[in-house]
Amino acid sequence: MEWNVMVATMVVALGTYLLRALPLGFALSRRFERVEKFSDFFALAGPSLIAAFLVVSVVPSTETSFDELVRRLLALCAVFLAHRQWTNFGVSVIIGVIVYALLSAG
Amino acid sequence: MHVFKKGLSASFPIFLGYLPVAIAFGISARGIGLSVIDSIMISALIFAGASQFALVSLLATGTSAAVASIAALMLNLRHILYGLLLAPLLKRVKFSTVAPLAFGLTDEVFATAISQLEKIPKEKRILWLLGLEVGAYLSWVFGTLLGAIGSSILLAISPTFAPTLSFALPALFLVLLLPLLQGATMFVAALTGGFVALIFHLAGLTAFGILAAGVIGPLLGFAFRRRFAWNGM
Repeated sequence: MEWNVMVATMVVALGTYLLRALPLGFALSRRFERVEKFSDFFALAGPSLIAAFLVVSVVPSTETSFDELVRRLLALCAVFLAHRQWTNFGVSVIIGVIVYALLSAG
Repeated sequence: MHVFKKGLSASFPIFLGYLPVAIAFGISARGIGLSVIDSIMISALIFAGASQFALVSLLATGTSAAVASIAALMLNLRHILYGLLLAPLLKRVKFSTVAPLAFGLTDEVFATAISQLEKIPKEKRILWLLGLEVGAYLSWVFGTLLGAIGSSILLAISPTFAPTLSFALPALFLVLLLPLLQGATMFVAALTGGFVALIFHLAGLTAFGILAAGVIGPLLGFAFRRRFAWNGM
């Protein structure tokens, strides 16, 4: 591995780990218990973040065609219906992938 | 061990979503001249998709290691929120116990954990989370290996199967979101988060959009709840 690639990999690996670990450590500490009134905030942040992930994964780039967007939205409808029917994460995801594949092939 | 397996099976949708992306990473890493070992090392040590792609593509254009590292880390700033949000679900656990698990807190692992951990008995949550992370991590490293080793063959196949399998991630996020939409406040927070992320994403600032969604979404949810209560509705 070239030195610059190795250094960059190590820095990003360590930095990413610290970005994940330090807030967790702080939040588990006693000091954090004093700010537990923010727990409602954190409860609302969960769905907000997951909705954000959903949006950016459905709209991957500005180059995505309208047809592709429609295919993804239709496949998401299938996921929604499957989830209502079976409330099983794995089944719903697989059905979504199959519907998306069929729409893409069509 | 049973709980670990449950966590592992909960990682299946992540496995489906990660595999094509990791394969694509392996292919692109080889494409810019990195060895198979280098490609796998990057995935094994960093375990963060977007920043890995950013790092590799910036280094390929001759950007200095310092600038490439900073740019890649900027993309991961949103991860600050994950530990803060998961901690209330891991109460009374020593940091030394969960410190190794922080390594695997990717977007998808976090999203799965935040929506499902509450259903797991408190004393078994660590083991469940470990199973979830092991499944996600192995699929990421294995996918990179596949991409790096068979890049030429996979380059011919991936245009067909990679986009299809990658739809597993939006599908996963939807099924994770649905059970959380309990009441109008949650709905407003989610809607706001999605909208904020979309605006930033279209402006090419996706990572900041995720961070902003994690702050603005709950704030608007709170504002909505306060107004709702004030009106006595």
